Amino acid sequence: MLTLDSVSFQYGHRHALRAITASSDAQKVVALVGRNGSGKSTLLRLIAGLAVPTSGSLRWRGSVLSALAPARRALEVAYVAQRPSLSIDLTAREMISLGRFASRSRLDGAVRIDRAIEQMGLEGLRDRAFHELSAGEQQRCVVARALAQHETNGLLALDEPFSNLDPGELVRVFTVIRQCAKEGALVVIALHDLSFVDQVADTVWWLEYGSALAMGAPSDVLTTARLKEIFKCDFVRGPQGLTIEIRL
Amino acid sequence: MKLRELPANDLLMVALSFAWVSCVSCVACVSFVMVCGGCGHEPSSPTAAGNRATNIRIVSLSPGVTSSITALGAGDRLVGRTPWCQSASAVPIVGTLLDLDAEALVAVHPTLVILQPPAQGEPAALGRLVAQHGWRVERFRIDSLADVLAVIDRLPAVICDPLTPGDCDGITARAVEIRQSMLSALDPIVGASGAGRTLVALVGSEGADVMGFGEGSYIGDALARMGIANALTRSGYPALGAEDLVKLAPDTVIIIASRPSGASEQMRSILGKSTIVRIEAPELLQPGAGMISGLIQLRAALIDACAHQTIGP
Amino acid sequence: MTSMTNMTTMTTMTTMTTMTTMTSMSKRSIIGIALLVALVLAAVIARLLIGRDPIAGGINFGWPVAEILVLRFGAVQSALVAGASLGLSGLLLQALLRNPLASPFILGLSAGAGLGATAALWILTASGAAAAPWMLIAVRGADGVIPGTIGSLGVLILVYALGRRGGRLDPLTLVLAGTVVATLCGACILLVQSLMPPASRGDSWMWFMGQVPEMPSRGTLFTAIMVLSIAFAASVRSAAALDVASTSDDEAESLGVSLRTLRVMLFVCAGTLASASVALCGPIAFVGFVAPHIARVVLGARHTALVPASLLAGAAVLVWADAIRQSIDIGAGRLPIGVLTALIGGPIFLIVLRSGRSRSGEWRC
Repeated sequence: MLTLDSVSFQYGHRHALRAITASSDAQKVVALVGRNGSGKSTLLRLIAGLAVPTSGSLRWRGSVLSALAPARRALEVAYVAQRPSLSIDLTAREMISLGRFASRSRLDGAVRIDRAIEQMGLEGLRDRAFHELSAGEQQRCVVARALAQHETNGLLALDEPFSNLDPGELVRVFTVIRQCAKEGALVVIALHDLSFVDQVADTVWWLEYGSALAMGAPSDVLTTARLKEIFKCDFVRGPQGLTIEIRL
Repeated sequence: MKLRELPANDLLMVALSFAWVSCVSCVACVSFVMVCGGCGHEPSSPTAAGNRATNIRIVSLSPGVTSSITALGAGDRLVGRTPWCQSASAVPIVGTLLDLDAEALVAVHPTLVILQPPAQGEPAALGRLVAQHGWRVERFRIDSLADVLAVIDRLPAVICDPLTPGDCDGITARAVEIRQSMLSALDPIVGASGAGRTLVALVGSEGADVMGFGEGSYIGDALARMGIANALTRSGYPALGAEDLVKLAPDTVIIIASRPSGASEQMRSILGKSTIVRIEAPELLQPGAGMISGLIQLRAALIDACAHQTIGP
Repeated sequence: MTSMTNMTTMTTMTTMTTMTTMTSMSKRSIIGIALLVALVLAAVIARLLIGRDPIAGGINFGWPVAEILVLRFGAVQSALVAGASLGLSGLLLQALLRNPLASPFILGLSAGAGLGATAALWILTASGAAAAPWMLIAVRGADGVIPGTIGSLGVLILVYALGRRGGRLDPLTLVLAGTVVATLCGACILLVQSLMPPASRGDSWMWFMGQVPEMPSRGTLFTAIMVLSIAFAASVRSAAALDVASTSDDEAESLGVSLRTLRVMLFVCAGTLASASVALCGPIAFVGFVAPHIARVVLGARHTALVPASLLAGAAVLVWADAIRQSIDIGAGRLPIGVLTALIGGPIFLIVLRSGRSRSGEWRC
């Protein structure tokens, strides 16, 4: 259970988040949406325990993640950064195996790594140098690393993990995410592309200028009227989800 | 984390890296076994050409002492020197006090090691080598002019071979000669005031600051003994820029140039009113008995300057 | 029944995967480490066999007499310990600073040691006969390593204090602090040297080129070996964390590495390793920079392999440099070791520069 109670965050004098109050149970996928600069990445870093809220409290299963030692915290939450480090001189498999660092004393490491590789469809790339892969392949590796790290019933915090993926890869990642949620995880994803929020997420948290604009089920929150007001363009809601209508 | 919980690969790495330690230990054991077994060959026995007194084999770790030994005509008993001992260029180099080539030092088989005791103390390695081989060690300070004279007095007894008839007498006689020359070179100059305030300077490269010899330096001492007023009243070896030279306004400038350069032209343009004399005497830079010819040149230049000034512009 | 089958499948899969991983990774690592060990051994043998005749000139090659062998072996000991320390120190610093161009002296250590030694010398010379006994012991005791060690450790503490940002060590701030401190120390050294008589300036300049003492002080050698062993053990233990730390700060923390403690450990280990090496052999450039890159070329980028490999590579480079300089006779005595390591390190640096850029154009570390 993730609870945010009036969470605020400041970078110096700039208010990135203002009094966000929200909560979610496990076995759910929460989508964080909003314009660029609305505070999605900041909120995700706070949820991952990488920063301390300036005020308010943020708890996962009753404990304050940012107060935990990194080794302990890594067993609770797996995080994918928006711009992960790409100039790493390891093979893809070695890079993914970094996800097992916190639990390296356990013997199922190799199995977990291979399972993550299989889930992300990276079997043919395991021995290639990570920095030689395409952007989409690198992104899938980073997600695989988080999957290898992630324990059942844990928290997955993913910041824009789909930005470089083609449709087939996208579907694969979505399926895996939903599977993780089904098995007991809470997945919080920051998203740019609203087209598939309906299909992927159970809950949407919509941020605007660091404040919570709306929270709830996708169809309730992402109304075409509200979308037009914020994004200044027309959306159409079809059976598979939202699409943008471009009139030239 | 317990050792057995480490992943298998890491254990392998730790195990393999100790191969380094075992290898080095093996090499150590093998070496010492062979040493004890008496393997090896003697290096060729040292025969330096023209070595009259083979009982005295000197390693000099002081350039000043090396030049003194050469000046005394005993250069043939030098078997080791530092790279800075230019006066004995045919002699093998055994490093310096700070970076001793212990192997070369041992290979030249000295009987006597001469050095200038450094402020930071002598390296313990040298002490150990000396103790192991039973070499004699003699120390000479060469900071001031008085030290230089003391070296000339004491060196003959140190380096001569009492077993070779006439050796000690010969060297002592040469030392007395040099001492006389040096003292007469340092005699007060008649009409010294004619030279006015004198600056002795070392000029390196074009456009660089010149280095002056202040009071208390061996050149400063020499000037004082000759009755010449040193334009530099402070002590040490200060670097002087063009402005300093103009402010100093010496009446006479003696330039010690170690190689041909346009230094005197430059000086003339800065100090138009001074008498500028240039002498090529690099041996003056190394205090010791070897600087006698430089001293004589310096004295001649100063006498010229005195005469020049007295005659008038 | 189903759970039993699951467990059996699981166990079989685990064993097979582990074995495949072991064989595929370890084979390269075993060959690589063996190669480096062979390189070190070859260097040691070369150093023991190569000799120079100072009288007749020329090089000779053969097993030396006992007394000379002891001297050569002493040089081998000094070079092995100092080279290994510098190699490991360089690796740890390149990991700490996330910069493949980092070297043990980027933090200003050698300048600090030089300043300590020069300042002590000047104080003694200035006080002359009035030097207090404690001053004499401080400067001359323990084979003269105390002033230099105080200097290098002092610089370490200063750079540590200056290199913190947001409460923990920051790679860029550390490099800047180190560069500034090194420049200041260098200026002070030149100042003190300009006050010394011209005849004695030549000697002290040579100290900055480094030495490989044939008769190293027992105490210093022992201390250096202790420091090396402790730092090596700590590095092996943190090797996995070093791989994780090569990603970004956020990623490393989220993967479970406490960057705060790791960076302090890296800093202390790298710093004391370099200090010990300077105490033993003076400041020898390039070894600490070049050794990790040699290790990477041979063994890849995983730190579990790089830690022992950098140690071996550093030892190999320094012993080979010492062996090669024994065989060079240009009539001016032995070349300073710093010249040889620069001549070897320079071209390797160029090779790293040319080959070290990935497709994206970013540096790989």
